[in-house]
Amino acid sequence: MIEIGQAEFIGNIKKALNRKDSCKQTLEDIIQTVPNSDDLKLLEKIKGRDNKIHAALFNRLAENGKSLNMVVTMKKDAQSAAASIARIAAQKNSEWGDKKTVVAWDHPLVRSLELSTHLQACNIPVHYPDLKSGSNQLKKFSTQAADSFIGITSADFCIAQTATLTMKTRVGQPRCVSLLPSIHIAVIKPGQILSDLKELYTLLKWDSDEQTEGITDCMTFITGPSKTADIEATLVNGAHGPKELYVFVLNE
Amino acid sequence: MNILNYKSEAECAINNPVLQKALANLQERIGKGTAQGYRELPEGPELRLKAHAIRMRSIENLDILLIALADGIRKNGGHIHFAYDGKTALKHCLEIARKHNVKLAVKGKSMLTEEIGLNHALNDAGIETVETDLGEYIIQLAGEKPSHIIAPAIHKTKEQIGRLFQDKLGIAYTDDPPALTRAARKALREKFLQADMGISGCNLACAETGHITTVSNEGNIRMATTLPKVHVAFMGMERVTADLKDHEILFRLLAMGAAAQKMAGYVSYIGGPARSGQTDGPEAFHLIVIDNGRSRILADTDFREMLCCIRCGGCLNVCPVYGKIGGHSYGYAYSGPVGAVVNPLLMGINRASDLCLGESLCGACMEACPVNIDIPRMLLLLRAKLAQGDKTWDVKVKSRVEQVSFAAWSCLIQSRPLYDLFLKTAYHGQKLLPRNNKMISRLPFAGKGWTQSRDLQPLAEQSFISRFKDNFAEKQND
Repeated sequence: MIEIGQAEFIGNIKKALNRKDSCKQTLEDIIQTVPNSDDLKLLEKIKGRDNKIHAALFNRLAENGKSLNMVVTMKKDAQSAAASIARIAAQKNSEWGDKKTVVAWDHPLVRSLELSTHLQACNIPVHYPDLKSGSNQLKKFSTQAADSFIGITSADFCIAQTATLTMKTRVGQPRCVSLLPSIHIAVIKPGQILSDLKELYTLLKWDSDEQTEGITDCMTFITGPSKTADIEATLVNGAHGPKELYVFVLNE
Repeated sequence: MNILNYKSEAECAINNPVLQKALANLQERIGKGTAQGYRELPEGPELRLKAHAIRMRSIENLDILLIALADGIRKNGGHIHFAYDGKTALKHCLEIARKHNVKLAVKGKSMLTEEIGLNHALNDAGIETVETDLGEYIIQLAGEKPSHIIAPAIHKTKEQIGRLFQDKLGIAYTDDPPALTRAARKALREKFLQADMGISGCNLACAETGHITTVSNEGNIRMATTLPKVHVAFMGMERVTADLKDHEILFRLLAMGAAAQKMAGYVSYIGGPARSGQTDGPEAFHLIVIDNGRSRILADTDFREMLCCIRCGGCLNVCPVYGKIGGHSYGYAYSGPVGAVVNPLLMGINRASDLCLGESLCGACMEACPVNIDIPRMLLLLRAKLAQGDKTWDVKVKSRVEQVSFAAWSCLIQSRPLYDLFLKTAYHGQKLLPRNNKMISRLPFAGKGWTQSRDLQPLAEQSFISRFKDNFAEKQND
């Protein structure tokens, strides 16, 4: 066992690279630190999209989602999205807990669905992370998520090219809601659909709001429901994460 | 580390019809799917060249990138450890486990932890360690080793897995893949919810933001890095990239190389422990960066390119040699063409000499590689070192007999009279050799390997050049 610290570890690498001690290069010298004209044009393009372009992006997203067993549908408003969620909740069975429960993000778009009202009819409680209480309350939410059969989130963006949802971790928007329940439903607006990953990375790198926030302690990309092909290369959905994934786009 | 039995393992594999079928199926579907996927990229297959350039630039600035990554991780409240060898990495991990009083660890698939023997070390320390990738879980239950970088249980049939689950999980026998997957889902979920420590590898890291990234299709790595109170990630030092935007190309190509997908099911950027007020995520995040022979590869510009590898396993899915002998023959964490270069470089070129001698140099691996690594070039170079010996890499000449024979052959073919004399002698000498249907069926001494699985055409009585002189050259003069 050879125990060395960071300086010696990096020193070895410098030696291997034949790097002179006088070399004072830092990361800033090797990465792009200011947007070029193409980056700025792309940012403009993304911001300047109208309804027609969003509709075209939606169609592409829905098409690409299909082959991944991901259901992408347009909903005319929050009411109709909530009604769809209630229908799914009534039809599907609970996988883990004794009774059906739903967990959801504390997010304006998700709150606008008024899920508790819609799910009351079938007697299904909806749990949100309780932000005002202490850490015990937060732990309790994780347990609730583990027992739930549906998790409702929004997302930061959804990429049409690959049918990928992206989400940063924020207070009130825990990771487990898109992970532990058997069914994950994400609710977004048409303006959140991007064409491809290049647009996403351009936004993450150069958009001022994204820059300020950074990519947080955990940013996740989700493409389709959980899947495995580890037994005789047979595709099975629902290995560890959700078995089903729905994206509802609220066109209001 | 394992003892290599390349030839006997390979023979076993070739005679195993179940494995042959599985390997053929894998190569037919994923291998061909990846090639098709590259063609359908909006930028075309040439995108792989761009990815190569991105990776090379990272490798050549590795010192700068690792310092930036370490700063970033610390700023985000995480811990970073540098381990020169595998044993030090294990020590770091065990110390973390002890500090947090860990009893149960859940693991995402990581070939690096396989390389350094993490599971053994944890088990010896009394920590139950559960592999959670379905393929790895099956392998762990069966007490075997992974046979493919991405599909570790490719060598097992659903019937074998059914019996294994019946035995180990106490469920009723079934050979239905969805039912078997559900059984593992249920058993592993309990482990995820109980575990104190989550262990993952690291596909790529980003120096600019101070994050590592993990990739899976099953969601097991998200589970392992979200639920337990401690997350320990292991990273080969070469995996860091400079710029966040480098990832756009690399992730698309990684998914295509690994599973012929446009994008992997789950990609997570992890940059430290959960922040205050967050419901989930670990309380502590540790990244262990490992050298374990990599700086030696980095120092040799002939092999430096190998550090571009992002371990997608794409080369396995097209390799005609892997396609026949399977992963176990390679006897080490990395199999296939990548293993045939990486294993000798990490564990000793002489020790793993069979691996690079066994590959076919057909070039399929390079075309399947998402970052276009010239594996055939490096295989050839390893063979040259084995043939001639090499001081920098402490390589002993593989075969003195072969070396002397080729030196003699070189003399022989440079002298016409000597060569003619040799041909004449050999023509008469070959009459003593056993024949099969007019073909030579066995060569003596060092030549016996040539006739082990084929017969040789005997030498003609008259050489081509003398026949040409007799028959054609004169006629032309007429």
